[in-house]
Formats: sequence, structure tokens, C-alpha cells
Amino acid sequence: MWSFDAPVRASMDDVQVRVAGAVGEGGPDCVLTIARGLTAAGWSVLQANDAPAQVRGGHTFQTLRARRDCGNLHAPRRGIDILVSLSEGAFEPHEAALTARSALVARALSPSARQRLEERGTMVLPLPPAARDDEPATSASTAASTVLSLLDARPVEAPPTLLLSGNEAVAYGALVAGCRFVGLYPMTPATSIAEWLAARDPALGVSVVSVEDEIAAATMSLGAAYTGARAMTVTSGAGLALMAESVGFAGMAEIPLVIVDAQRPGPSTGMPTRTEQGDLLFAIHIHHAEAPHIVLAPGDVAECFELTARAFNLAERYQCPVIVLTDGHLATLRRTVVPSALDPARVHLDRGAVGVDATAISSDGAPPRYERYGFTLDGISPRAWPGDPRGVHTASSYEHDPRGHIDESAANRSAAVDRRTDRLELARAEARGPRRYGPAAAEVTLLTWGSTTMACREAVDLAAAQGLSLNMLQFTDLWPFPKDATWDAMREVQRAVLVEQNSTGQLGALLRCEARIEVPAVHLRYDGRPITPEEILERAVPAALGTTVDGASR
Amino acid sequence: MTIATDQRINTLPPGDVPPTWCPGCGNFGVLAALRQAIELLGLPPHEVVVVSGIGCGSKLPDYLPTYGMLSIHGRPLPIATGIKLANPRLTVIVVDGDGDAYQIGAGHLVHTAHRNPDITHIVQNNQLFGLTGGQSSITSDVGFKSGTTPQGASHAPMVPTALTFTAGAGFVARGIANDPALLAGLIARGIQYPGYAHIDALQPCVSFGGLNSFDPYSGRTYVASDGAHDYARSRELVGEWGERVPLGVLHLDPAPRPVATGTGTPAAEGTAHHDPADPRYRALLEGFRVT
Ligand SMILES: Cc1ncc(C[n+]2csc(CCOP(=O)(O)OP(=O)(O)O)c2C)c(N)n1
Ligand code: SF4
Ligand SMILES: [Mg+2]
Repeated sequence: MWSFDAPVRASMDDVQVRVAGAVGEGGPDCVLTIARGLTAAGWSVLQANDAPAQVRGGHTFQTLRARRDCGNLHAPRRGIDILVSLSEGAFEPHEAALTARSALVARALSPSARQRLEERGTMVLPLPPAARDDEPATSASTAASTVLSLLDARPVEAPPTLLLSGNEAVAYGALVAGCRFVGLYPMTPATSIAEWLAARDPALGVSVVSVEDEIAAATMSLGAAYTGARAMTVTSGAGLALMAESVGFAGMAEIPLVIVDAQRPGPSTGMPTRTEQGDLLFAIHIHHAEAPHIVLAPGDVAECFELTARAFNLAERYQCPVIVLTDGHLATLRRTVVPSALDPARVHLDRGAVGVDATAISSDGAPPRYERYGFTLDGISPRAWPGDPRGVHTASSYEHDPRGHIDESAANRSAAVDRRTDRLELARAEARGPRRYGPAAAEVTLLTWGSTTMACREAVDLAAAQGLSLNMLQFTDLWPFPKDATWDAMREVQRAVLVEQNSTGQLGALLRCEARIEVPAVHLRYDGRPITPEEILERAVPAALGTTVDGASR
Repeated sequence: MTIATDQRINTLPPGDVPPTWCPGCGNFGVLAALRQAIELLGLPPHEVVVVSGIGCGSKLPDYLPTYGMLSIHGRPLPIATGIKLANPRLTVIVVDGDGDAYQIGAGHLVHTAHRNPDITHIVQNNQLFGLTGGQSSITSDVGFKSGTTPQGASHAPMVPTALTFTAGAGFVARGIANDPALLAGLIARGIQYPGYAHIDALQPCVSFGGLNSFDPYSGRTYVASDGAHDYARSRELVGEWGERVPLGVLHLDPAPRPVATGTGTPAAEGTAHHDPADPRYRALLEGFRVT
């Protein structure tokens, strides 16, 4: 029988802090100060953000979960131990989560609010008003010090972890992987990736070029990639839509290009500062007609680093575009990470087939000439870059012959399509299958991808603590879809539920189409707020009970 | 025209494949002029990249023995900019059509002229969409009849040289396919010009051009200037279009704006020499450390 009760936290060693206020009141700085203070004190922390798409006013809050023992933490949990209210009444939407063990740090309270809080038993700590109304930063930093002293957080000699966001991890991964060119048209929540790169020492040489639109961002990056530079562009869904034609061209002309899509709720403008996983099938089906490309989705901050770096290797090995899908939650989430997870030594450059000699044998008996698009054994011909005297060729959006010249002959067309498509099977063979977290066998398995991985992992940990049988499979390599590895992983699955941040269950559709696996139970959320571990345990898991996964036992 | 001819090579090999243009098409003249300019400047073919869009004229890179890219409709300017910024040693030339440059890619035209990368842009302006069957374009003359304008085009033609001039281009010229020698000189000067150089190349379309003539501009064109004139004259020349159509260098900025570059080591070289084990990358991790 499945029965989950959200645990009551008994100590101040695993705490949840929430900072609430209006946009522009310094909440992000306040929570960052707390996060930094706790990191310096050797805690592990994870900070998630909830913000409206406005520059001043409205209501925003940041949630910080922190563990003194530096132990595992994957997502915020229910409940608030310390609530900071930066403006009058800002705490009210969060009041219900306060308990007799919580503390509220707030400015002047109305008599009725004070009475309500007294009834709950919540401790109220006063926050001195800002010296001037236009200087909210003062009270934000006072609030941060109040919280740090409440938690008795003192700097340790050598804090064991680093503190960074998903976007920073993507940017760092790209830089370490040798990315040297970023064409950019700003779009939330992707922009700070490019901003981080632009702020690095020019000696490291990443050119971040701000351009007229996403078409230019993609095509300019593609031009740079054609010269042998590792190039990337970063955007969100609507920007990716503008890049679609360029992705097809990169597939046709076999130009490696990395595109990061930090998804947000759409379609169209949607909710710019919130989160969703609605672009999965779009990213997979982005081509008009057919061409090879790869889609990856990191599930946490360390994976943002690792998969972004890997994306550059895959793009060059398979000479095709690679789309990395993150989302608003993961892009802006900040957490502690052990340095070894971001170790540049983990990044090895694989530039794929490069150089003129290997296949410079012409098919027609004429003197050998370099064939950029030659019919090699595995369909992938070595690249040559402009400037190489032996590598002169034409890159073309038209169907082309091995030298790159327009060739509409029936025989060439079929062979060229096969040559471009065959590599997908090579990429599929090395694609990673779903990654398990939790026990090898479990009563219920959560199936997920992207940032919801974090809430699922937390749910698995919570379940384990209560002796409940739960595990999860996280899909990172989504296209080409790793069918065999999925069947292997699903063989042990008894009951499963899809956990996705979209309204149609797009991973479910992929499992159905690609692996002929039907997962009847779904837990979908599409209100722009990240899925929580508790809702997974209270609603997603029960939905799986009594269902069976069809096709998994093949 | 001042062109260094000391390293001149007359030996640019032929392209791999013959052009598929209609006999008598103005594109032959543009191809000849571009070949001649490359030869005049003695540019090694492997250091030249010619990027095109999509259209009749945009097939041109297929017929050259240089690096080439037949890209997508309207997008060669940002692609060429990416190539040039990533590897500044290359000579980067764009050849596209009026449909590419002045219509679907007009946003890129304005931004490229303003951004000022060191590329040369030759627009094969036949005042129509050739490859798709002769439909009117933004540069078509009033009254031009086509499949999409059976009653005749109602708008006055856009004058592209005025647009790039306004957007900040420091080199604005016009040539004509029927005079490859003049055009070659303009292209060579455009290549030598440090920054974005716009060359509007009138290119008669014998199949769909209204007058169906090899020389529809006969009697209208005149060589106006080699660029040695003041700003006020530039303004007149770039906007002149009608009874008289000026050729030559219509505008040459005496005080050119800064040329667009990337930051630090050029991207292609940066990636080629990239070593993840370089201690500078590990040092950056310290930026995420909280003390
Ligand atoms: C995105 C896109 N839209 C439309 C087309 C169809 N198309 C091909 S060439 C062309 C216009 C060609 O006109 P121009 O650029 O003036 O070149 P020309 O053929 O006249 O040399 C169009 C509309 C296309 N290839 N791609
Ligand atoms: S249609 Fe016109 S532009 Fe196209 S090839 Fe024929 S003559 Fe040249
Ligand atoms: Mg045209």
C-alpha cells in the first residue's frame, strides 16, 4: 500500500529559507548572500527562483534549501523554516507554510497579521526598515545577515563546494569544450549564458556577437563553425523556431553547430521567466524534410556542464547540429556542486574526422581531389576548413555531389540522403540510455527528462527514507532515441509514471513512437512552476499503481 | 582605380562545373568580373570564401575554384560575417540576389552595413526573382508585370544604395554585368576596402526582365565617380535612380568607422589551439568558489 506523509523536519540542519518581496527589492541579492554564506560555511545549498516577467513590482520569491551536513539535496521540499518578507505583506502568500518551528523575518506587521502568526507559534524577527525607500538593498542585506546568524553559519577554512547556476554551468562547459563563437539575440532564460561568456577574459577569446535576430545568431554561428571554430548560439523556444531553417541547412551542409534552448512556457511569448519542457518534440522534429541532428537534455547543474561539453564533440563527430534543452528552472537554479564534477580534465576534445588526405580519392578515376562529401564507409567525410589549399570545396544547401556541387541526379540524391542519415544510427549506438536513480528494482519507476530529474531524485530519496519502493529513469539523450538501451532499462520496470513539465507527455510520445512502449500513467504540470517532490509522491506515484507498462518486456 | 597588380595571377583555374544560367544571362558577366577581381588582387583561391544565398545568381560559387557556400535564401551576410570574424585571414565575399539582399534578408543588410565586418557584398540585382519564375521584387520598376503583379508593380523601386549608405556603409558602388571590366575594378576595390563594401551589380535577366533585352539600361547608365567626391555628392549619387543610373563608386567614406572583429584570438584559431587542460580554465572555476 502506498502511503506517503511529508516528513516533519526535526532539526535546523536541513532548512528551507524563502525570501519574498516585489521585483526590484533585492530578493535575489538577499538569497544569493545567504546561499554564499552557507556555502562558505560548508553547507550544501540549492536555490530555485520564482519571478514574474517584470523589472519592478509584482511578487517574486526565491527558495533556498540548505543542509549543514553538506548531504544530498536535489530539490526544494515543502515547508518553510525561515521566511524573509522584504516588503509589507510579501509573506502572506507563503503564510500557510509557516509552522510553530518557523521564523519570519519581516518589516512592520499589521496587528491582524501579528495575531495570526502568534496563533501559529511562528517566531517573528523584526527587519529594520530601509533608511530610504529607494534603497531596498539595505534591508535585503540586513535580512541576509539575520538569516545567516539564525542558522549559525560560520565560514570554514576550505568550503568543499562551488556555487553556480545551470546557465553558468552551460557556459563553463562550452568554454572548456573550446567554444569560441557565440551569436546571440537575447531571450530569457538563455541570455545569461552568453553574458557569462562575454564577461570572461578576452584572452580566452570567446567572441559573443549580439546580432539582429535569431536567424542571424544561428547563421553567424554556423559561418564561424564552417571555419573550424566551435560555435554556439543560445535561445528559448520562439528563438529556436526562427533558427529552424538554419538547423536544416547545418544538417544538409554538415556543419557542426550547438544550440542551447532554455525552454520556457509557450507558445509565443508565454511566461518568459517561468519554466516548462514543451519544446522536446519541436527540437526533435525541427527539420523541414529530413536531416541528422542530436538532442540532449541535462537534468541538473553538473550535467549542464557535462552535456554541453559533450554536445560539441557530438556535433563535430557527426557533423550536424546538436540542440541542448534546458529550461527556466534549471537555467536559473543555483546550487553547490563538488569541483570534481566540473573538472576541465573530464573534457576531452573529439573533433571528429578532419583533414584532407584520408578520403581524397575521387570516385571517377580523375586525379585525386578532396571530397568534402565523399561516400566513406561510415558516411562521414573528413572536414576541411577554408584556408587549407587542398581542401577547396563548396558547401551547399542544394543536394550536392561529393565535391559539394549541385547534383539532382536520382542516384546521387538517394545515396546522399542515406549518407547523411546513416550517421544517426552511429549516434544512436553511442547514445546513453536512461539513467537509473534509486534501487535496481522498485514497485514504481518515475520516467523523466530535463530539470524534473531533480524533483524525481528528491522524491526517490524521500520515499527511501520512508521505506517506500521507488526508483527513476532519467533520459538525457533524446535524439536519436536510444531504443535498445531503453528496452534494457525498462525490462525491470513494473509500473511507471511519466513526470514531465508539459501538458501532453512528450517523452511518453517519444517512447510510444520510438520504442513502442506505452506508459499509461502520467503526471504533467504546465503552470510554469517546477514540479515538487511531494506532488510526485502524493499524486504521480499513486497514478502508476494499478497500471501496467505496455511493450516494455519485449 | 588603384589596384596593386604586382602579385597579379592570371591563372585562376576554371570551376569544376559549367554554369546553368540562361544563355545571355547577366550572371556570366558578374562571374567573369569576380574572377577577374580575384586574379587582379592575386588572391590564392583557398583563402577566398564566396558565400551566396538562393536564386539564379546565387549559384555562382559553384562555378568558382575557391571555397564556396551556397547557403539559404537571404542569409549569406550573417554567415559571411561569422566566417570573417572567426578567421580574419580569409577574403570573404557575398554574392546574392535582390531577393536575398534587399527583400527576405533586408534586416541583415541594414545590420551588416552598420556592423561593418570586412566583407564584400555583390548583389546581382536583376530587379526580380529569377529562379522562382520572374516575380517582381522590391527593386522592380513601377509597372513591371509578372506572375504576382499581372497589373504591373505599383511601388516605386527601392534604391538599395541609399539604404546601405544610410545604414553606415563606407563603400557603396554600382556596376553592371554588361561591363565586367568596370565591375571587376569595383569588386577589387571593394575587397581592398577595410570594412563592409556594397556593390549593387545590375544584372539583366534575359528570360524575365521586362524589356527582355541584353541591355535594358542602355542610355541610362553613366560612370559617375571613382569615389573622390564629398559627402553631399555621395548622398546625391546613392539616391539617384530613374532616367539616369550612376555607376562607379557612389560613396567612399573618408573617415571609415571601426571594422567589426571578434574579441581576443580569432575563433577558428582559438578552437584549433584549445586545450581544456590549460590552467586558465581550471582557474575560472575559482570564480564559483565562495570564501
Ligand atoms: C525561405 C525561402 N523562401 C523562398 C524561397 C524560394 N526562392 C528561391 S530563390 C527566390 C528569389 C530569388 O530572387 P533573387 O534573390 O533576386 O535571385 P535571382 O534568382 O533573381 O538571381 C525565392 C523566393 C526559398 N528558397 N527559401
Ligand atoms: S532567369 Fe534570368 S537571372 Fe535566371 S538564369 Fe535566366 S536570365 Fe539569368
Ligand atoms: Mg533577382
